[in-house]
Amino acid sequence: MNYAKLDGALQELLAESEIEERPLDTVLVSIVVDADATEGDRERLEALLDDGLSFDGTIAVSEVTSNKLADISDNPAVLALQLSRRLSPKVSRRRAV
Amino acid sequence: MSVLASAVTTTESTRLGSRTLDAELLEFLHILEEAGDGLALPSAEIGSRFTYGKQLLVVTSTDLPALERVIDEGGGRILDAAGRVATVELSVAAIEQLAIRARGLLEVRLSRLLSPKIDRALHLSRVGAYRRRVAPYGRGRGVIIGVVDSGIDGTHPAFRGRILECWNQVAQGSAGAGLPYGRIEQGPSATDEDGHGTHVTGIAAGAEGVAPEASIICVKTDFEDAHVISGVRYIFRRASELGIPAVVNLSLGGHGDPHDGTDALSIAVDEASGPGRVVVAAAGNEGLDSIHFGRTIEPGTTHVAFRVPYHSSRVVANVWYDGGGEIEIAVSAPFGISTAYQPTLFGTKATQTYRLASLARIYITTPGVSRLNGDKSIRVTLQAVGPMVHPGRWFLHLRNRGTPVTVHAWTIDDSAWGDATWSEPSNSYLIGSPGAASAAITAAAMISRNQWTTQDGSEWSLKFDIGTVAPSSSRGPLRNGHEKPDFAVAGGMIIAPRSVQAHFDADGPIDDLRATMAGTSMAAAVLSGMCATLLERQPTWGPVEVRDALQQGARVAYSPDDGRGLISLDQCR
Repeated sequence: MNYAKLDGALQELLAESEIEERPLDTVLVSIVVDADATEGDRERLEALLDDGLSFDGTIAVSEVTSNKLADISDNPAVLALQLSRRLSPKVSRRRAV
Repeated sequence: MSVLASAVTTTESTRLGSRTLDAELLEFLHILEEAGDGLALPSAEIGSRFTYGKQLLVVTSTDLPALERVIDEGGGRILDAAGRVATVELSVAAIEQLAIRARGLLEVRLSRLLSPKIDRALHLSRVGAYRRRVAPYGRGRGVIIGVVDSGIDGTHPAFRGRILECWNQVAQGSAGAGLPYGRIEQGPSATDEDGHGTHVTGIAAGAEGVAPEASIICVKTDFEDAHVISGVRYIFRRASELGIPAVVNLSLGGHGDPHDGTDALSIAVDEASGPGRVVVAAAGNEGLDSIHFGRTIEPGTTHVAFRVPYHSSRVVANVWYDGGGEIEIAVSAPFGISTAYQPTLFGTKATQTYRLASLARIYITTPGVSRLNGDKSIRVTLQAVGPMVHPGRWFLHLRNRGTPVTVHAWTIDDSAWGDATWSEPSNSYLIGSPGAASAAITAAAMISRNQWTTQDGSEWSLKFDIGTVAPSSSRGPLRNGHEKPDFAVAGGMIIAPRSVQAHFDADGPIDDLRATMAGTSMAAAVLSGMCATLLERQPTWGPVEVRDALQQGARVAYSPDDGRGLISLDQCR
């Protein structure tokens, strides 16, 4: 596993799973791919992302099985893996009077 | 003789107007005159309400019988008359004669389309004046407004016949080619149990919204940013297949990213944007939340306090600093118990776990330099080991072993009771992804309404002045100094379509079809509608051209509060 490519949240999730002895099944990640990656590396990466999620430009979105994380992170085409982040609707929580 | 030739000239109308024609009617006649014979057909539409044919007027007169005679001679008719006020249908050409000949005339004015909906939001950016100027454009026809949000109430009359489809990412199943999860729903079957998506879509593209003739594509999401990426791509792909431009509205965001537009969602937004493809994002509503800390840390140790509220099961601090910095970090709990200092852990597992008695389990992650922006990050998570993280005053201890370095940190928590807050916050640098994306046009919120009456007759108010930046609107700039937000538009309170499936607090429902909401979500929707009206006229424009056009109606100078300030759409190219 190339830990240097994993963002903090993904590293933390892996650590948490290890401590709690709760193996991860799949994780939803965004993968940042090197725009200058070789075709071979990119094809090998695509083969690892077999769930058919979107892969356009330099960003792939995929629900990957945790045992593939090492292969994905070791692929030279991959710059970074980010655990999907839960966003919020931007409606104000402040109420009227 | 053309109708225009027989209509009131500017000089005449000015003269007559000084007596009886009101300002809006004078402006209307002036617009007709300026439109010229090239556009002039006797009943040609130059806007939804603006025709050269019969006009609906409200006339005030002390002599209704005299008024009736002139109207009759002019080929018009009185629809209703009582006391001194009559409602009248009369051609443009006959208005002059009415003004000259009718005895006892006090005022002639166009009937006004009243709308308790988002009228003030539109008025703040002079959307109506823009529509009149660019008629028959200005209503979003031929443009898709795609909204990635909580869904849409497909039965709401505000969207009748204009929802092309909805990708329900939350539904079980397989949506079809290229969409490995969720379900494609046709307009009327789409739902929105939260109400946010319906409201946002209604502002941008509802029947009384900014772009009321735009087509709509909805993506009902679970707000995972990975799914949001797919949602943006889906909308643009469908627009491309249909051969029409699209604006994607993202009234959502978070603070788990580096706040510099280098996260995956921001990159995806940048890459997906282009000619005929524009993304609008909300700046955020954290202006008063004290969730950002930023300071230059001198060599030595700096103690940074933050407060954990009651009932937080998990609190996260997201820390970023220059890649050349050398910072070690420790965390201490309210009773002084502390973790060890943790340096950057290069090339190995970067997460260490610490247990601070029963107060919390602490995860500290200190990876090396990010390949995406060249900076270092620290992630600190306080995880409850009981029902909640111990509330109170906690500290980050930052030991700088190098030269002075600027540190930015954001707190993120999952408590419904309030955010974890810094003791010495800076209420700047509050725009995260996707508002931080370079290509996104990012909206700050202005106050457009501060009083309203809800369905039960209760009257509500906000103690903020109309036309000022909403105090909760997230301030810029980005962590790398880039200027965000881009512009400010109306963001609260906005009355817009209400999802029948959603529950609202007491201050929300206006009637069965509308509700109030506030925030940069609403501002983003206003801005999305504006962008759609620009793409309607210039379908190959991308984010650069659209931003430049909007800039024409805004301030030159940048402010972290509201970017280039309020847009007057009628000033835009």
